[in-house]
Amino acid sequence: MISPQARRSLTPWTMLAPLLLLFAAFFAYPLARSLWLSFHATDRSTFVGLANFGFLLSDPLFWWATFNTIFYTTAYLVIQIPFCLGLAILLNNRRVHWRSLLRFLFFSTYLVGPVFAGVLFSQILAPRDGPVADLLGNIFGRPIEIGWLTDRRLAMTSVLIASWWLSIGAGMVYCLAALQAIDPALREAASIDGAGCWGRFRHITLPGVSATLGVLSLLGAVGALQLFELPVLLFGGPGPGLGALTIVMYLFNAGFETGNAPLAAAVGWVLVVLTAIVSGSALLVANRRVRR
Amino acid sequence: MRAGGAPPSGETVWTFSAPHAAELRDAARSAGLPVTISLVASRALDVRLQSLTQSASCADVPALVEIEIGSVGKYFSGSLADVPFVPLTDRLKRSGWLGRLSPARLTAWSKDGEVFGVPLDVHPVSLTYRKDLFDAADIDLTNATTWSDLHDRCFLFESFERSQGRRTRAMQLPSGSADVIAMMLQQRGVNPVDSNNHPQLTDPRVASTITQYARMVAGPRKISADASPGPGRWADDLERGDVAAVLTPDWAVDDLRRHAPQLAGKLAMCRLPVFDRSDHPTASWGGTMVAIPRAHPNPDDAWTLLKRLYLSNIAREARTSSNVLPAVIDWWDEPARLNPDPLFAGQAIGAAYGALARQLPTRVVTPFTATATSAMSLVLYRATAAIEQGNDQNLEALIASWLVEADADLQRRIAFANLGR
Repeated sequence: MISPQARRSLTPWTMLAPLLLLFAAFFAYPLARSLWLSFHATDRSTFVGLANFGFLLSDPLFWWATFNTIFYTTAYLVIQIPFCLGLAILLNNRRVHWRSLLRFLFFSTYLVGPVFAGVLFSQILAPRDGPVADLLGNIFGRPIEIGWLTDRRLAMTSVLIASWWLSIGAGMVYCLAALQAIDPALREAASIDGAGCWGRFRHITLPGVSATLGVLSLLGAVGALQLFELPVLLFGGPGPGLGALTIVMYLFNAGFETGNAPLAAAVGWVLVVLTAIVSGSALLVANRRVRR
Repeated sequence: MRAGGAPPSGETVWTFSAPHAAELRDAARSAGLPVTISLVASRALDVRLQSLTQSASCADVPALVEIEIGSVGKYFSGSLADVPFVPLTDRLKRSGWLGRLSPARLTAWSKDGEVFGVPLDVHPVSLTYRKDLFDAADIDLTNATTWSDLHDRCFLFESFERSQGRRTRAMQLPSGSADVIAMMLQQRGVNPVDSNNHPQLTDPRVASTITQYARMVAGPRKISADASPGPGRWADDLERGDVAAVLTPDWAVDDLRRHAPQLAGKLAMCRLPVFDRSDHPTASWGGTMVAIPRAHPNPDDAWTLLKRLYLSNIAREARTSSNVLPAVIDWWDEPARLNPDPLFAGQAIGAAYGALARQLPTRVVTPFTATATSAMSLVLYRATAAIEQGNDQNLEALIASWLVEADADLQRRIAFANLGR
């Protein structure tokens, strides 16, 4: 017979049990298993210590994938954040007609998802008969053939264009919400005090949306570090001359193309560390701003 | 256990190909087999199969699974006992099927002489070209015996096209991937990684092949364009006259029929050119095997099912509706395959592919073949960049030096992957 006191102390655990079981089965165990795997050889039973990590650090292909991923992440954020904010400011302006429709149109690209975007851009960027080639041909008066999907130097640019198209509308919605939360009285007061457009933007708008921009940067960076679907859809793999090889694609190839699950697990943990560094840095910067 | 010939029921077959799924459903219906045909996307099928091989459970194990040639290598890592499919050599011998299947094709599905899958196809490659366009330029491709000859003729063709104010490219070739290079190497009897898992990238034939190919896809003597992206759009390129010749495995002819019927009577087909006289006039491109997962609780039932679905008269009849040659040699001479083909101005395409299939080179697939092909893609990229920068003088020597680096890197990867084995 369970005493009332024991029953009281057991009750929360009983109620938490389903969640804990699910957490253990689908989160903790796979995580622990992948960490365990990363210290083993391809046969999954021979302990090899840090050999998988050592191999990664000495593999030029892994460094190339890391370079590509960091380049993509940086370029993605550098364009995405200002465009989201700029678009939000534009569509927050009462002088712009059809604002609701425009907001929906810009946001709608996010609704279609990366698979649609990948298929769409593989057609838009087709070298000879795609709309971009047609447009350039009409502008220059002669056929222009650009290897968006076949030239290594342009591979990541193509992925970036598709990514921006996909995400700028969604980022705009975040920024719009932040802009609308700024007290209009502040802007009015600043105008009365003689602040111009730039002054109002610098001292009222920017501080008002900085927390949102921080969140957008963090989410964008974490998503960008995990880039996988778009290059696969655009190129069917790592792209011409491995121009769109990313860390997650390297992981996928190690795990599922060459069947080396322990190496793939090691890549996963390196990615975790990289993501933790990026997220930690972003949070540090955000905290400093808040303290100021 | 049921008797060997009794029809198995309630089994599942995994395939990644919609046409295969349709054929299998028809075959199962005709044979009265209550079989579930599951169409699973190629990558998903790979992931599911690998999860299955690592799981102790026998639940939901398909009786048969179709594997694409690009995916099979990884299953052949480790020892014979580690291969997650049932060995089929004895069963094929006992049933008399071993001698009836294309021997060149069996090696791709074998490890250390043990066959793990029944090939469904042979996929010989030919050269299909717009005869109307080449005739207008007074250029005959049929007597281009070497790749170098073909390159010269295509260059002349492009000069003619430009003189007429057109931009038609002579051939459709990928500039950023080494898939066609791997196919050319097959013709020369070179597999990027041999059956003992030794990289062959330092073979001089690899350097000379990449050199020839790089000059076809880049620089002042470029004669090619990449295919437009999207299913079947390569055929649109041919139809529009953006390109005048394409490499066509037998499965591509079905695509041509579907996407470019307006080309009827304007096409011709010929064997591939070679590098040396001893080379093969064709190679294989793509391919599928059907295998029995080792985790299946009753391999005998699965084998019976395999024979009923893939090696029976029903299967034989089902295969005549497509241009794809089966791997069973005596099915190549079906009368339906020998008819003149209106798409190719009356050429008997089925017979031509049958003749090429008899000269198919042996193809070896290992866990590292895909990695070696990627390494060749990188070398190709460096070669085309060198050509574009005008460094064409010592190109072959340069390529050979890059291949030495690539070969060493591949050896390092193979050694690392074999740690603990």
